[in-house]
Amino acid sequence: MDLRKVSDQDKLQLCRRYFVIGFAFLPFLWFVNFVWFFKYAFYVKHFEGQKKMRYYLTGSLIGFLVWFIGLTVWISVYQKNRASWGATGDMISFLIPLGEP
Amino acid sequence: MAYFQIFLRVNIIFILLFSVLKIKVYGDKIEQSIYSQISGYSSCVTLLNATHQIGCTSKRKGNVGVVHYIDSDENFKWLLNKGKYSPYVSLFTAEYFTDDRLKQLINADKLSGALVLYARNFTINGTNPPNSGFSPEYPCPNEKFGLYGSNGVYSCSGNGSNSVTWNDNGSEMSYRDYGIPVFALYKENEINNLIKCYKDHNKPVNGENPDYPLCGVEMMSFMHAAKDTPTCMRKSSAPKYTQNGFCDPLGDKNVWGTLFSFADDSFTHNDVILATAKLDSTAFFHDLAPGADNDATGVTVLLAAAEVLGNLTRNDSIKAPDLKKNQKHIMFSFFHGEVWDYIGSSRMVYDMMNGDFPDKGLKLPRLDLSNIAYYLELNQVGLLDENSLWAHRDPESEEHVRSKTKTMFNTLSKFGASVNLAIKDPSQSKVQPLPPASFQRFLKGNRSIPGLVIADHKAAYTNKFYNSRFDDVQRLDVKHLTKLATTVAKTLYELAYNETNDDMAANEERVTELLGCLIVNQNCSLFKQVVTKDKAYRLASQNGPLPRYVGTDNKLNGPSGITVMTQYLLAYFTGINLNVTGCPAGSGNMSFVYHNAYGTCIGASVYSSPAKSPAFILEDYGSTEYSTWTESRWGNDNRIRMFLIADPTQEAITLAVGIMLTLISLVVTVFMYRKAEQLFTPGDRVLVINDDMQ
Amino acid sequence: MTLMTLFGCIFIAFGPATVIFLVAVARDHFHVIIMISSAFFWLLSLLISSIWWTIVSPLKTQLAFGVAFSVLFQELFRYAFFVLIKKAEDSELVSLASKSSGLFKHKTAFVSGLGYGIMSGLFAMVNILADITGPGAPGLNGESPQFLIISALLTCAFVLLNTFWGIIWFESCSEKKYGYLVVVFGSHLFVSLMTLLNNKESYLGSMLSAYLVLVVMAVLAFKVAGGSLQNLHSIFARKLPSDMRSEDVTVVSPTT
Repeated sequence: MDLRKVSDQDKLQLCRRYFVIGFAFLPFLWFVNFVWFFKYAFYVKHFEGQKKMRYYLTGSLIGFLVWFIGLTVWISVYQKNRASWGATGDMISFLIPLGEP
Repeated sequence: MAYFQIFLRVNIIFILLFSVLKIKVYGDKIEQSIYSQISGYSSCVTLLNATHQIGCTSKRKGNVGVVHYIDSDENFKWLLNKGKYSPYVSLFTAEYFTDDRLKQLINADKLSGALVLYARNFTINGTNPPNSGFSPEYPCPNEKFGLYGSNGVYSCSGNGSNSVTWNDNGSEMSYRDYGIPVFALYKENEINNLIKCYKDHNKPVNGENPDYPLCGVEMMSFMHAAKDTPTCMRKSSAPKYTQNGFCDPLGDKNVWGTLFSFADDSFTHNDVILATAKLDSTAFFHDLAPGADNDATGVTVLLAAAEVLGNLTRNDSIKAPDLKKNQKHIMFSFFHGEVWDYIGSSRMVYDMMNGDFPDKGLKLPRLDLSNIAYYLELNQVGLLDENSLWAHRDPESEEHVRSKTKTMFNTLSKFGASVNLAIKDPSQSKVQPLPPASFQRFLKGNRSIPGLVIADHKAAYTNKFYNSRFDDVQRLDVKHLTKLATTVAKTLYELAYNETNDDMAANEERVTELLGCLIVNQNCSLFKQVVTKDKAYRLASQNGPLPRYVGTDNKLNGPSGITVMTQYLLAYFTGINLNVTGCPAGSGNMSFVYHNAYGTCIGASVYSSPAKSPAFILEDYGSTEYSTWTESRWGNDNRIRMFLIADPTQEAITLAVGIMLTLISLVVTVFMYRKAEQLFTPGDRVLVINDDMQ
Repeated sequence: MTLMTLFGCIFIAFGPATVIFLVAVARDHFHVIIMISSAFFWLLSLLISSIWWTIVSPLKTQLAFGVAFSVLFQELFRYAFFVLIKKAEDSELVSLASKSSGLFKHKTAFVSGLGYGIMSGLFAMVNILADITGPGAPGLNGESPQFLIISALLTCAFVLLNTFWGIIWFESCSEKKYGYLVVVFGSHLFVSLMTLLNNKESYLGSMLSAYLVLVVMAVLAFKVAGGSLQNLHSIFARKLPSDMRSEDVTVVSPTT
């Protein structure tokens, strides 16, 4: 889709939709939303609904960051401690690595 | 033109033509010209117990190293101090393959793998065993699972006042966790190629490091399991999303049999005499365990003694024992997996104590530890110490047991003396404990079993190659093994029937034959004679001795070869010719009925019982009471290949040339594309209007 | 370690071809299609020569015959492709497109040569590339350690040679200058046969001949496509002011 050819109202609509769908555990969608509409929300000259768009984008960014930090922390904790968690560690693993404890 | 034929066989037209077009440029298949596969190798694998992991493993994608041949201390020192192309793969001659050197090199971060030369008959230079002996076993084998523990006066490693370091030559090499792959190479031409490759490319020149290209090898033997048995068993039982397994318990089957069937009796008293030996042995490389003094001698003597007694039953000189007259059954038992903390014996004891022996399906009377009247074990008996054999006994047994043991010993030495074989008491001068033996597990279950362990060593082992690939180097004396078989048969008879039969003598030819079949070549006439026709047919394609490493419990083709063969031998020696048509199973109380290769129907009371450690029944993988040894699984892409390692500078040049060429062509192309109209205009300055190109 | 060699070889063998494709062809969908069809025609020639090779048994023992026939089939299919393009040019679709560019004819020739070259280069190199990802380098049985770089350079030469041959071949076909046909066929045969001289130690013969022929063919193709030393000079000597150009030149239709 070429955003240049989309009306401001439709853009806002799209942005809102992305923001809402992102709540379905889709942080990457939030990230895409943020990148995609960043220019229109913060750089392009004012249009009606830009404020709302900024709100959605900030929300998306925060949501994404929360996910990102959360996942990063979890992955490092998991990778570091899987072996010492023993049976629990195995239970929450999809693939148990070969050749290590 | 060989490559053409290769491609022809592949029969893919495209590749065919590809060969026509470009073979002229590139010759045969590239991989074959870069790599030389080494097929004759045997690898060290990872085993695990309750607390540790031992053995070897490669990284998942294999370990690569520069070959360095170590056939002298000078070469070893050079690698340790001067070699700059780490990591190396050291190629040891047998003499220099020691735990100490391996550890030094690994600690110095020099090694990514190790190789050792091997030839069964030492036909290759550098495969001769060290003169001082070589035993990768513990100095105190199986100590923690034996009777005396690791503390106290009789403990081996605890250096108690009465302790004996049984295997004083032991380097514990088999029990180290090296973390690198270690292979033994045994094909002469491959070894020569590798050494030639080393000499051509890697040999230090005047003590200096050689130049590239270097000769390298890649070793692949990636082990799936890690840490210890509890971990790998837990992971094996975790829900599986992939087909990977992690480890399997060690185990096989014990073989046991009786002279007369138990079926019509029931045991109330000390009614059974147990004569045992162990079936397994091991080595650093499990496949290369010849198991001569350690296991074959004991098995041979016990089987020969069984034949002597079997001959008497066949000509009716002895009858089934009358238990009411205080006569006893004679039972032979061969334990498997004894090397690995007494797997076979501890399982039989466990079953006896739980009332599961013999297996309920056999419909035999229950045999308990307390029903064992005497216990006679044949350990290593091939290499005489002070020209005599030694009957070891438990120094801590109670008085009434000790007197029975004394009776046993007297009987034994009396019959030994009658055939000119000295059997002495090693505790005469200084009281000493039992050596590592299956009997220890029986005593652990019931301390009041009188018994003796016959061995060729008074204190420390006379076998300098205990549980190593060189166990078959030493000369075994067939004459005294024959005498021992006679002695054992007579002793068993007297203990069982309270009477002497002088008409007993083991056959020296039979002992020689048995020993040859067990140690030299399984493809022998005796083996082919005792088994069924199709098994004999399969034997014909075999070579070398039967593998002695116990292996994992869930073998695809049933119990190991040595187990099956022992079963047949015991049946052949103790059984009778049934002379029935059809040879149906269960004829005349016989459990083991079969047609041998000559078509004779043989029936015998021979059975097998599980030799899987009780720890795996109890699911107590951290057990300190029962063996917890497991063997790691590994992938099927194990290999070793040899190749040249190119100079990294040259590789960098290749890359640089590539990048330069691309950049130059970029400049030229952009130039020509931009100036296309001007360049490609005929001299009369005709220009073509071209919207696209601007 | 040997990832360096791998990428080095990829750059050497296919770097120039990729650059040419990206710079001169990729943006022009019509010529992308031409290139792919040409590559397909090379595959067809491969198919035919392999069938031929399977049927005619003497070819199997005499490598030189096999090579000669393979070259013959390649050139025949080049001709067949030319005929196809010629046919297509007569149709409305192509002539519309071609009107926009005067160099259209030569570019078509050059692009079809490039397609031919890339496909043959891929077939020559992919097997080798697949095998050099491991830790080893050639030389164990006395092969030259330069083997890989030589292979890559030869492949590069063949890719470029095919490109130039394409230009010359099309020109000779359309302008009925049959001498060029002989030149193309002869040089192709020559270079291919020279590679037969490759043995374990020396690649000098094939390398020298390939690159000598490459230079000759490059010059020839340059000339055939309308280039000249004069033009080259004029570009470096003085830049034509763009506004002057339209007055000076005669505008001709590219399809004449």
